[in-house]
Amino acid sequence: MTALLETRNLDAFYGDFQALYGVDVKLEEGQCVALIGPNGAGKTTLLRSLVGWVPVARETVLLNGQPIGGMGPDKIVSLGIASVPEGRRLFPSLTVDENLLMGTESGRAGPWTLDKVMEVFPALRDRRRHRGSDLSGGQQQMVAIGRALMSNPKVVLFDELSLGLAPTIVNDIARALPLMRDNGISIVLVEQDVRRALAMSDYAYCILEGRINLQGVSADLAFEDIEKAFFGAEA
Amino acid sequence: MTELINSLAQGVLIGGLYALFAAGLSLVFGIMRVVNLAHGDLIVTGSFMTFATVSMLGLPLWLAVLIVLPMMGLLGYVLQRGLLNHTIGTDVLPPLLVTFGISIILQNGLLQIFTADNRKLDFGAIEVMSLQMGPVAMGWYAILVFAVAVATIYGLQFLSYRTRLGRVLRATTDDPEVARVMGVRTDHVFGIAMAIALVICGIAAILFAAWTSFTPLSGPSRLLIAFEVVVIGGIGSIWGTLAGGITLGVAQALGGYLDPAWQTLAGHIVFVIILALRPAGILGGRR
Ligand SMILES: Nc1ncnc2c1ncn2[C@@H]1O[C@H](COP(=O)(O)OP(=O)(O)OP(=O)(O)O)[C@@H](O)[C@H]1O
Ligand SMILES: [Mg+2]
Repeated sequence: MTALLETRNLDAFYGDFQALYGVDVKLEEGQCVALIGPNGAGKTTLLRSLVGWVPVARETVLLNGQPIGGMGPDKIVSLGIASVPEGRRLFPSLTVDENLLMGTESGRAGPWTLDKVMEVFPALRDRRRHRGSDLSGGQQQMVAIGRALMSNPKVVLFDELSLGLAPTIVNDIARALPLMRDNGISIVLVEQDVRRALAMSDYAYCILEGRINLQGVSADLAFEDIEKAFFGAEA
Repeated sequence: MTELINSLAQGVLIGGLYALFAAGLSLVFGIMRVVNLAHGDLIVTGSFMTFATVSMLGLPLWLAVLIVLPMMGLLGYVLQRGLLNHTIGTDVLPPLLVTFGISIILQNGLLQIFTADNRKLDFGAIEVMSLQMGPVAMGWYAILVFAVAVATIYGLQFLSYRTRLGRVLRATTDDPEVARVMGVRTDHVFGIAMAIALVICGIAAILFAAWTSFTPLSGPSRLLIAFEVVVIGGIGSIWGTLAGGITLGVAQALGGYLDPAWQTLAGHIVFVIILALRPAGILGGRR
């Protein structure tokens, strides 16, 4: 059976520098997959390859079995892959509502509206006319997630969901994930906090220096094995 | 005294026209980070288009407006998609060189077609009628120009902050990379932005064609005005272009009042002073 989204023998480059080597990862419909690994391992690069931000060969990224590698980001989001980028990257001069509305530029029909995003993140209710740059880090992350949802995606890619945020705020934000899965959205999660990543995901891949060196069902992965994988020992 | 007030009023009114020169330059710089060195020559091209339709083909002015503005918009879109989009990237030099090249091509092309003669459009009686308010007399044409300028700037403001296209334009200005990940076809948006910029240039071109005479080589001086206005008003500020235009217009009027030879010099001096004291411009940092 074909996976919802998968990479096959994916290589990615920044100029002459190779950041990913023959990466094979799979996301099944309804799943949440975590990507973990130390700084500079290539997690962000893998997400960028999926959305067309880094040029890759056409047949190395497949959506429902169809090759989409290297298509433009504007095309790929219209096929249903949305991102919550590293550093959140809201549009600083747009209001919260305007940032959220940018999600609709994907041109995809679906259930998500401004009101529905406000139901998921009530903290944004009285911030709707504020600029993105006036928000707290947690609120910015909520807007970044809401913006991705507004594109009515099949898959959302999260890069560093919890980076720089207080744990209680991360919990508020993480509430959105089960809700997204109830709405039929599959998730790829890059996360620094390994325990949290394993708790939130069904399956996990560990990346080191551009290669997958450990993978497995999240609940079965031993923390010691992951520690070893982080430092390059064969697990 | 009356003479002083008259020239100040004249300075404010021509400031509207200067704002129109600057608005397109500012828009293009904001969104594509390109200083369009052909900006002035594109304005002059618009003036010659108007000259050709009105004076050579003998069409009425309203029809010329309906021909020139869409043609300028189309020219902008095609220029951006066909040429300039291929020059923008991390390096600032290619777009500068290419727009400089376009500037030279336009100047020489216009010289070939229209010769180096001075041209001026004649809009008839409105050019000599004036509004007398006590001792102050303001030309109706200057008032009309200012009104059109304010309306255009207001329209641009409305477009930017009240429409979907405006939201997409501002988002692309903020972060083109993320805009693309949201589904924005930035190549197309750049084309639209240049089209809007050149339609504004077209409006300025038509109005200026009857204000003073022009030749195929008038472009660079228009570019200089536009550039100074953008810096004075504050980069990225729409109303700032109007503030900058009026500041420059008034400075020139004051200089010219003291000594006609100081008119342009006074403008440059004010530009340098503001650049030194408020590098972000009068309305810079605010929107
Ligand atoms: N724009 C770029 N140009 C050149 N090299 C890059 C670029 N972005 C990342 N790299 C390099 O590619 C490698 C993988 O980087 P990547 O950002 O994918 O790592 P990461 O796993 O996301 O790390 P982090 O946890 O720090 O976010 C690193 O060696 C990095 O230096
Ligand atoms: Mg990263």
